[in-house]
Amino acid sequence: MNQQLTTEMRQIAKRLLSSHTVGTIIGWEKGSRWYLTPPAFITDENEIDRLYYDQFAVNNLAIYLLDFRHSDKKVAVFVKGCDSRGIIRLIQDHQLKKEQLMVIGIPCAGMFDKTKVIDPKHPHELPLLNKCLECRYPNPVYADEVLGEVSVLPESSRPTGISARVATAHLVGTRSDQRFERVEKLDLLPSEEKVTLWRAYAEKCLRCYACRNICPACNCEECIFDSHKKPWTTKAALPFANGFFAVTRAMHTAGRCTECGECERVCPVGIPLMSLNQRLIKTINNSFGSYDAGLDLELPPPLSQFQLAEKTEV
Amino acid sequence: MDFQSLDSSNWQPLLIGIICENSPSFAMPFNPTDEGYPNFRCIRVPCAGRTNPQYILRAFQKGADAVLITGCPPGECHYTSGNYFARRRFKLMTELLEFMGIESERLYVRWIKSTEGEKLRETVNDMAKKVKRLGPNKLFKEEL
Repeated sequence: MNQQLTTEMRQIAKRLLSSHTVGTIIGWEKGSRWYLTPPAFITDENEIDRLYYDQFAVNNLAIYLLDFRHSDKKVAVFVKGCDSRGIIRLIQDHQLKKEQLMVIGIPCAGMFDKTKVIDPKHPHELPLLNKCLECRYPNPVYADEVLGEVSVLPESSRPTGISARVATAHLVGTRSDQRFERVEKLDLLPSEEKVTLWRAYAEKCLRCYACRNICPACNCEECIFDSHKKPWTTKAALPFANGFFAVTRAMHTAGRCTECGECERVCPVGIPLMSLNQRLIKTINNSFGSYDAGLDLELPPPLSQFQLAEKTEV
Repeated sequence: MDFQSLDSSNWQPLLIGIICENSPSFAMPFNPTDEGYPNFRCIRVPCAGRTNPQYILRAFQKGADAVLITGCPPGECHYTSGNYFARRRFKLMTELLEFMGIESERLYVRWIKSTEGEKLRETVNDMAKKVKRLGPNKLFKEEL
């Protein structure tokens, strides 16, 4: 299945590059270990054999499109279900135009959790990532072309395409109704414990900004945390400023987070950043009506609109 | 750091108000002769919708124990709709801070009419009472 998808990816890459339809192709390549499949940027026809796809291709490639904002050539990008929501996010935020992109949807059989690797030398069985077990959009929600017979479905669905059988066997999407479980558990803690917990996380934070740089919703041209002219925040990685950063990041992506879980994956010190985002999503669903970001190009995010009749005071 | 906060037995909560300048109640937030009126300081903003969530965090960083945000009641905004957007944003902000351990009593959002100067005074007194019971705020506080 992965072999077939890799072949199909190389075929389409060859067609697109040889006809000069696109300037760059963003995909994945096999990394230096059996559990690594990092992003690859292909600009040369002779390099298409680098393209590779397996169940470790977890990186969301949507954010790399920002580097091609001002490119005069089209960019082709391979997307899984969760990545395609990031593409909608970028188009909706006017960071990119549809015409600049060639979005190629591929089926996803769920991604393995590489933090569970025991033996780095020999391949072995691994469990799926939590986000894949909780996945509600395993099929691309937006694509110009598709590979592996996957259907483009802008609604909550079951896996389709040639990997559907494997995905179902791996229980992709079986826990989708329990995705707020972790948040609810943290919510029940008493305030003092919450303070201790989040202060401990703030002390661990390195302010490497990996969470910001990977996020398809964090797409400001200039981030306030890059500026030295903002007197109300500091670039120093002090615990109080790190807490400030975490809340600001969560609030800036509120209502626009596509739940790809990349922020938490890239965090080098393991701060549960998605729990902040999911807490906000839970509030949005409960208070302003159910909303999933990155599905509909026309529907404005919940914080850009309002209803007259809503609970007024908090 | 002032002496008041060094002496824990005589701790008085510091309340910060982020107050819309179009609700005239900002003009009469406190009467200096009032005995026992809480330590309340006002920041004027052009509209409650102008309040960046970072203002609230900054207040907590700089030692505030509770933050009050007031604006005109929905439908009476000077800029037509600023407070409707603010309403959604503060709903999220309150719940997020509660998730991280700042009790909901520490962040007040109130819509106070231009003619209700007394209501603001009562709100501030009420806040002070509740925050006194909770004790000083610890999360996000700047430590040097």
